[in-house]
Amino acid sequence: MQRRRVRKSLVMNLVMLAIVFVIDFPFLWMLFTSLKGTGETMTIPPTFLPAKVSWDGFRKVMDLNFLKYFANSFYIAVITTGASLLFGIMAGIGFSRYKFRGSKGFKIGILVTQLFPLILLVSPYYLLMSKLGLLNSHASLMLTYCAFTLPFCVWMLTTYFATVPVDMEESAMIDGSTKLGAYIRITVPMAAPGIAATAIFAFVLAWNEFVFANTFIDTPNLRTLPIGLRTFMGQYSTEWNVLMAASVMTTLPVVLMFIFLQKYFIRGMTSGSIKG
Amino acid sequence: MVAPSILGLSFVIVYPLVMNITMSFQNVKLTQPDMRGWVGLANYSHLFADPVFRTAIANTLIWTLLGVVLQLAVALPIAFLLNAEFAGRGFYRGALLIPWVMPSVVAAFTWVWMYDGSFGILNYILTKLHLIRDPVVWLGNPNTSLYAVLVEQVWKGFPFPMVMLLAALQAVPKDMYEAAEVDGANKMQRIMRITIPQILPALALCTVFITIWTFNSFENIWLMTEGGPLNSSETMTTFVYHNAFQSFDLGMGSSSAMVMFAMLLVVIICYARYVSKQEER
Repeated sequence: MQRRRVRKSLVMNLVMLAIVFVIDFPFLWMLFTSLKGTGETMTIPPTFLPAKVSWDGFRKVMDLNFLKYFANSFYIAVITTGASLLFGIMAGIGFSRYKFRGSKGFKIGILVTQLFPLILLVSPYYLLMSKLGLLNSHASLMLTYCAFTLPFCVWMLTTYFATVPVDMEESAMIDGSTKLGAYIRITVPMAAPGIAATAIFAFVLAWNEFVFANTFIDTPNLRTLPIGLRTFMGQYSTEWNVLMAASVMTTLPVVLMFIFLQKYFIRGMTSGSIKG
Repeated sequence: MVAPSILGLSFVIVYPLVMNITMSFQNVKLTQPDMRGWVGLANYSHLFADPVFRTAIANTLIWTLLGVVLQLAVALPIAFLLNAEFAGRGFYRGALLIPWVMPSVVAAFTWVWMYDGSFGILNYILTKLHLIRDPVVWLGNPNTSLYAVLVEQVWKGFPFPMVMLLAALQAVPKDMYEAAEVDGANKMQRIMRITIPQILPALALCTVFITIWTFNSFENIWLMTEGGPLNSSETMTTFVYHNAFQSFDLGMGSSSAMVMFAMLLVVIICYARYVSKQEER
């Protein structure tokens, strides 16, 4: 019995390793390409592992305004996350603690936003931003991203706040806390996992977004990372080690978050929010 | 307290929809801002006379149908494997989510690099395996471009149904299997009579999601081929963007977006009905 279990485990591990290798091959390929010299990316036959590790790709990326793009993206993603959490928590507590007319319709509306084609929003938002005089500014992107994240953040946080028993807030208030104090000290910390999942969702959305950033922003210095990456792709020839080095660094924050917060990531994913 | 999110919601659905409907009956060219005015159905008649739009519709249907089937075909067997009990499966589940986690721009460029006609690893592997004789310019060939991008789509999208189906598989009560075993059901019967019916609701739900997401996909197509070459990978989303932001004709962009939305509406209504029924329970 014991031996059978060990053998089964061994077979399963071999099968899964093969599958993981195939599926993660593009990821590994990006990683290894980024560590090759420019010459080594143009050899036939191609090498899998870099024959000689070279940091040229990363060094060149640094000369290409990459840090500026990185900073822009980070700034926009942080503001988007902060605003989504602030308003999301307020509305989430509101929804879970008080009954509203039409809250069911609201929930369905929120789910529909997750299915709504993004491409339908580009022209209307473009005109709106140009009317507001916000074209070619980071504010236009933050506003747009918040509009996307907010409905979903509210919905997700409402379900989390609903699991926090009202009694706990009440007993805190009997002990002399104000209503707001009870929310801040009791309700919000109890819903921490939900808040983490929501924060990841908002950050990743803002970090990865391409279409609006590509349409709204003109000035090179205001570009976000996804757009910046595209400028590294040459018209006629691309230095692939450089582009892959930039790609590795763009992926890094998201992958780090994923490794340390996998549980919340998967929770966000199964609720349909974190889109690939 | 709820006001901001209701505001957000109308900003995301109501406003764009109303704008698209109005603009689809107007002449809105970014290059001629003074010419704006009502044109009736002119945009729509242009649209349906345009052979590229017909190509886009056909491509979208192929793309969505094939994309959904393939995503499920990859996700379901892997979900079954991950549902077995063995040491280290947590690691494999995490590792298989990497495509989902990679930023879409990065994923698209990595695939462009792998598909490269001269130095791409894919051509090398396929020639070594004797599947092709000469290197193929996968993204630059009108016969292969749509399918080459579709492979990237399937690769990037399958982890979602995988995780959803795995969760459903794990939720099947163990005693149902035990009871069936006592009654003498073999392995095949247990799968057909217990597992499949039990995961069917989850399967239906994630099929709706990936159908809509696959239908809506834009970034990867735009980044990998821009709908080319010769419109061979043009879908409805790239058609909308071409019209709106390369020809700067928002009127045409909106009318094509409305056709796209009409096609989607059917699925969205079914889904909203399903959800509101679930809520009543």
